[in-house]
Amino acid sequence: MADALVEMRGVNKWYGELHALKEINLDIAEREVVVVIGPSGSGKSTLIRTINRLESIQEGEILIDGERLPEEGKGLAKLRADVGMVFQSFNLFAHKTILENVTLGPVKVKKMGKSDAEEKARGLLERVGVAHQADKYPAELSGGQQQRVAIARALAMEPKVMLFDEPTSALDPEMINEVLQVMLDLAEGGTTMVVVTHEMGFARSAADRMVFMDEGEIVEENDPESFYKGAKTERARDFLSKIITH
Amino acid sequence: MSSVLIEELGPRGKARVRVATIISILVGIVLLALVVWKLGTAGQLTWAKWEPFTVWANLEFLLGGLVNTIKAALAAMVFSIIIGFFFALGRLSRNAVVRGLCVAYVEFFRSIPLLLAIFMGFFGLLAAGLDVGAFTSLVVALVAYNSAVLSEIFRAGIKSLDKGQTEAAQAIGMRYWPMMRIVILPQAVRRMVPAIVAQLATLSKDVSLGFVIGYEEVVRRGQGFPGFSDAGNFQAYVVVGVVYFILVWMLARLARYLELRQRTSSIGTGAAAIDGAGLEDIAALSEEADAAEVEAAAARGEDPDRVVDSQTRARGAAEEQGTKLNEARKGDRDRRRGRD
Amino acid sequence: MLEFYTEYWPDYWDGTLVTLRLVVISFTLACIIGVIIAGFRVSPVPPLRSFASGYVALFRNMPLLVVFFLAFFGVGDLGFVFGPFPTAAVALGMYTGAYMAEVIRSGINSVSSGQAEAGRAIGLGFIPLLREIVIPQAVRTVIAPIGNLFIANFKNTAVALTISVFELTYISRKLINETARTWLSLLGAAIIYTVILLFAGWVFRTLEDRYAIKR
Ligand SMILES: Nc1ncnc2c1ncn2[C@@H]1O[C@H](COP(=O)(O)OP(=O)(O)OP(=O)(O)O)[C@@H](O)[C@H]1O
Ligand SMILES: [Mg+2]
Repeated sequence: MADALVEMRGVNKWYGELHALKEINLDIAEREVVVVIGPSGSGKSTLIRTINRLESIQEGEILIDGERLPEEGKGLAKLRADVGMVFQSFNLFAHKTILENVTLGPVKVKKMGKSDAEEKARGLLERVGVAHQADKYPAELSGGQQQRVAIARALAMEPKVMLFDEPTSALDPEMINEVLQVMLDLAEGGTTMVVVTHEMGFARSAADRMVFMDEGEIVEENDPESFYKGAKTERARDFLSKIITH
Repeated sequence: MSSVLIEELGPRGKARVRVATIISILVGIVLLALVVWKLGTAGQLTWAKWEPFTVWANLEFLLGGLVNTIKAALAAMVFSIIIGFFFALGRLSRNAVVRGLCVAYVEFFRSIPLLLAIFMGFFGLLAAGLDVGAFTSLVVALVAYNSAVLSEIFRAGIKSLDKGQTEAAQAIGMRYWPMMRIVILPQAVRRMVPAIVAQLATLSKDVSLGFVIGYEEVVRRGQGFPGFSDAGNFQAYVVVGVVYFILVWMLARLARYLELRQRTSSIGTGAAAIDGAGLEDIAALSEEADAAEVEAAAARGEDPDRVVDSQTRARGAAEEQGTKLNEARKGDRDRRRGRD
Repeated sequence: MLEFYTEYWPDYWDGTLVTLRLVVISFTLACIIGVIIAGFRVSPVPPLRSFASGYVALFRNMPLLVVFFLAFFGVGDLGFVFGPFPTAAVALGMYTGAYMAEVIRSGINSVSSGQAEAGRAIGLGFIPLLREIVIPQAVRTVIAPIGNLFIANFKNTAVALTISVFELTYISRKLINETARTWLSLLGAAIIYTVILLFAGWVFRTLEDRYAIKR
């Protein structure tokens, strides 16, 4: 698959003795939405964080849009600008207003003019439904609002691919849907996304592909319907039976 | 080895670190060699200059200074605690006059140099007709000075105690003073033990200033011991420095050990309620405790002013609690979601 | 009582000026040393890290008096003779610098790694990350401890009298000898210290409030 946007080839990662990623091969096409699922500690976060090298790898290679992921320096920073990331714990810049959070990347990294960046940021905040909060500080917003701002902040860089690491699992139940809705809209709009989440509803309606991980390995890749109805592997079925008890 | 500032290094970064390592080691060796060479040419490394420190009579004299240092520090500590306590209570008193006087006392002694307080204790008392000698003068000054500092620590300690405790005590009908004595104070004291030991380290350093009024502590004995003329300034102060280093370092270690033990035990009970979160947290905590302790000591500086550490610690604890709640909530939700 | 102070005001004034000069020079030096040592301490180069920890441990575990004596008499024995004032400024600067390094380091460490990761994820390099995220956040936590250090440094200038720097505390000691009016002599200096330090405390508290992080 030469036209893959993200390619992982024979990726291995160790934390000391612990083999956290085992021989990962994964291609993600443009406009594709991939949902990663698996038990706690299976390496989902590690996998997704290697894609913008928040975690280094020891073996294999990762290509983004055909370009090899640089290991450091300016090249790495430049590539990261093309990969949006949304964290479980939002990580909005605590000392900057919502608007500044969203304009920081465009102004400092893309060297966009301040007023252009602000206009664009306001548009994005509008899109995720927090436009009226633009001048507040992150701590003044609810978790759901913060996470939507975090999505806007990532989108402001016009990334080629968006990474989500359990974006809703630190949220109170009543806020989960507002964030998922934004993500569904993105998926529909054709954004390439890699999402770690256990939200079955989201996976079913948005995912093109499910990736099931266990103990650092990709155990199964499947389309969502078949995956939830009857996973091919024993380990996936076992895992599903634990999280879905009818 | 990735931290806030430094991420995991790539090959180029690693190569640079290697080069920097080699260069800095070489620079270090050169500097060390220069120092040794300079010491040698200045005749400071000759055995004759160090030999006096192998004579038992000289060592005995110096160690006597150490004993005097510890004696003064301990005496000052005990009285500072008692008096500091009263000032802390005074500052929390409901009587405005009492409060005002206590604030004035504390602010006054926190904003003058210790040396000035020592002069007050010595010349001031002398002028008032009290010829009490260097030891008592020094202890009086240290107590006046440190009780002001300690009262701030105590005050923060008392206030940091769970407000619920006060409320619980009030609910069972206890009046203010009995409540203070039976419920609040013992806990405040227990919580303050590590800070008190850390303060003892600071105090033992402070005792060195007794030098100026002729108190025979380590530094004065260091330049007055029988072999001094055979040795020299450099040798004498190096030895004094080493003696002090060992003393203060041991006290600081002890304080940190006590602090860690206290924190882990209180966290332990806290975490038990939210099962699972336990062990790694404690490991992480000891790191953080290290930073907090260091920050506290730094804030204490030569003399602790506002008690930043208790604030940061309270904040840290709150955040800690927050993440744990989050995790607990997350797990809970996962389970819940699984069911429906 | 008043005539005592009108008569000896010039002495106090001279002493105050020496003290202030000593504070400014030593504290500036402390800030520079603090940044360098803290930088060493968080650097990925092991020897630099060890050097920094050694430096901090050395100065934290010795009384200032011993540092002064080593710097003045000890180094003097090696053939490097400097005047009392420069020696005091450098010794005090190095001493406070060790504490400063710890304050700065803990300020940096107080920034959560999530903040830095979020910055990296939008493509900020090392310098922009430092300038936009780490420093602004660290500064907020560091103001109060730096204020305390400044006050401690200010008071510690008095120790310079032991190597014959004629600063404020020395002046009051001298006036005791000259006038035999002990309490008046001491109180004069005490009042000057109190006024200056209460003011300094107020300045730092104001700064702290102004830059307090909104939570
Ligand atoms: N910085 C680290 N140092 C050492 N081990 C780590 C580190 N980060 C993760 N690990 C380990 O690597 C493994 C994979 O962790 P990872 O966070 O990727 O799991 P996960 O699938 O995201 O789990 P969760 O659902 O709990 O988020 C785990 O065993 C974890 O303990
Ligand atoms: Mg994870």
